[in-house]
Amino acid sequence: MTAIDSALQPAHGTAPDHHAKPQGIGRWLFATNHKDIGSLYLWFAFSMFIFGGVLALCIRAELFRPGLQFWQPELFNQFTTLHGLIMVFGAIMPAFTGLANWMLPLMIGAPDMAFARMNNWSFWLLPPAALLLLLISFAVPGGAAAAGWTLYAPLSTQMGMGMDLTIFAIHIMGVSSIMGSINIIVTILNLRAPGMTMMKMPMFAWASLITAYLIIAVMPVLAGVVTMVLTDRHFGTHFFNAAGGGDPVLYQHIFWFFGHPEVYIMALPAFGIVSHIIPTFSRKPLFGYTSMVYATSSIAILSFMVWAHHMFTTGMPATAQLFFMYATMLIAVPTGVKVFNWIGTMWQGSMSFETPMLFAIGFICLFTVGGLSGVTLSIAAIDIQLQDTYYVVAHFHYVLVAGALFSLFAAVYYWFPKMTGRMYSEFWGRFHFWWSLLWFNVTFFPMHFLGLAGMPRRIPDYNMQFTDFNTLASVGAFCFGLGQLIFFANMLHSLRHGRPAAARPWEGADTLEWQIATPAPYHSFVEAPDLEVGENGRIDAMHGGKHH
Amino acid sequence: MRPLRALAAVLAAFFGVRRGRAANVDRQLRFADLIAAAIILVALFVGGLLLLVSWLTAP
Ligand code: HEM
Ligand SMILES: [Cu+2]
Repeated sequence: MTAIDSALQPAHGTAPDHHAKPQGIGRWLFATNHKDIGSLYLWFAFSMFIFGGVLALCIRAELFRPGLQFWQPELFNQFTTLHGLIMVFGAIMPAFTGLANWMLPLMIGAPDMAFARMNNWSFWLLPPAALLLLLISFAVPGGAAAAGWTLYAPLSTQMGMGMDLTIFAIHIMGVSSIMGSINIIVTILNLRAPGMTMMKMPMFAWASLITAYLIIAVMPVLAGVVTMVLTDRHFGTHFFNAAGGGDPVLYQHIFWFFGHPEVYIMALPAFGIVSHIIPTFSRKPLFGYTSMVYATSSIAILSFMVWAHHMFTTGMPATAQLFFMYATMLIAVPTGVKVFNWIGTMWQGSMSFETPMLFAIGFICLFTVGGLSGVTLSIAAIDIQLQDTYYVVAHFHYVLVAGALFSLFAAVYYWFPKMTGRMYSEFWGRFHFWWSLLWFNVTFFPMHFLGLAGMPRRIPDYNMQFTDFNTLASVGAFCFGLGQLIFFANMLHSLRHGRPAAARPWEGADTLEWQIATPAPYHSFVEAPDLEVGENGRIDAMHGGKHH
Repeated sequence: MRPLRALAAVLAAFFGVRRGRAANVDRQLRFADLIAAAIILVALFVGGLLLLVSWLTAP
């Protein structure tokens, strides 16, 4: 609406009252502005990150030494399950959607997201889902879901009503992320400013677009499989009940058909972000932009063909094991090429190491470690030893924490000036990076050794010989957690008291969002600009375009 | 000629590397050709892998 009325305004007219920023709680409850909704998503994701982090610390406290210290095993299992679910569906995914909301319209020259009201709804579905998962489900008889975030049958077909609440929460979050994705796709396909062609647009837009398609393809699969669990639980079906002619392994096939593309849903946007930050701080264009676009799309397609690498121990025929093993190894090729492209971008660049760049380089190094352990795990003969050990926990935290989470930190530091009009504290930003890098590795690197030595995951107690590494990991986890408070304090303080930021605080930044005022005007690009664009969204010239 | 070019583009995507010059030519490809090429190549990829692994595990 706003975009349309304001386009009808006389060219130099000041914005009339009804265009002023809405005030008070209504601004957030009825938000349709992509920046407000983006902020809501980001704050929501951050609070979920804190909740999930507290659960992780509950886990690590128990594992500080052998024996049962704090929690009964049932409660411990609820902690692991909810930690995983909350981090994946509450923290990482909404954070990427929030960034897409904030930045996509600015990067492609659109006035807002395509469906502004649906955007409001896709955000406001999340808090109730989080309430169901977090608060209510711990309070119901039997406690929260305790089957692990994978919710494998037959564990999930037993259990109390905490499982039903979780299933319901997953349905709601699925609907939310599908609506968010529809918005992203339509915005990118239809609202690009003249000149911003597909093969020129920023990598972050490409990554968001492809991720959105993945979400639309696999969230219904997840919704379907948890619904089958629900009907098994309450309506007398036997999908996963062997006694009734069903098959629990079927659950795993369906779940991982969702689950593997899901890991790319959490990785591709990270690739997109890094593909802006590395060029900016290397003061060089992205090396191999076209290759990146091609590789991202083919990774997305191939990610549907590798799901059973999570199931090597279920007794598959050797033929199937080899198939999924080779397919998994092959998909690592385009991913590896990306790493080379980022390195090629940095090669002979005039680099500087501000906080976003530090996190982006940290991402590249540590994501590669996670990728390496991933390829190791894809070897069926090795996975049969390592499946369900701490080696796997180490692997996926390298790709999720040092991958997805670090890229999110990088993005927030990078775009913070554009979002708020102020600079964050560079000192505390760098401190946050080095602190996180150190303690992340102290926490998770020893888990490789624990796994190789045979320590199973999802257990509250362990044998004596695992004590040292577990103690180390627990100390690391608490220090890592503390470091995130530094981030929080830095953001809060800089929001009010940071030094005012220039329109283009990063010398090498050349995409569209840096061409407009800082902080980004509440209604940006109410009239589309005419653009001359180079690869990866580099703006060579901009004519017209109006904001207020 | 064009279908062949679409196949080459999709193959390059599987590998993850495409030269800038080749990519400029790709821009003239039709979307339908690309989709068809992708479907064919994915089928070949799966089929080829299946053949390979069944040959490897044959008694
Ligand atoms: C402060 C950072 C974090 C710490 C210390 C931490 C620690 C842990 C621990 C101890 C486990 C349990 C392993 C087990 O017993 O099986 C776990 C599981 C898990 N974590 Fe984290 N984690 C952190 C951040 C994250 C983030 C950011 C994500 C997601 C993006 C994540 C995703 C998961 C998942 C999916 C599981 C598996 C849950 C399950 O077994 O069902 N974690 N984490
Ligand atoms: Cu996988």
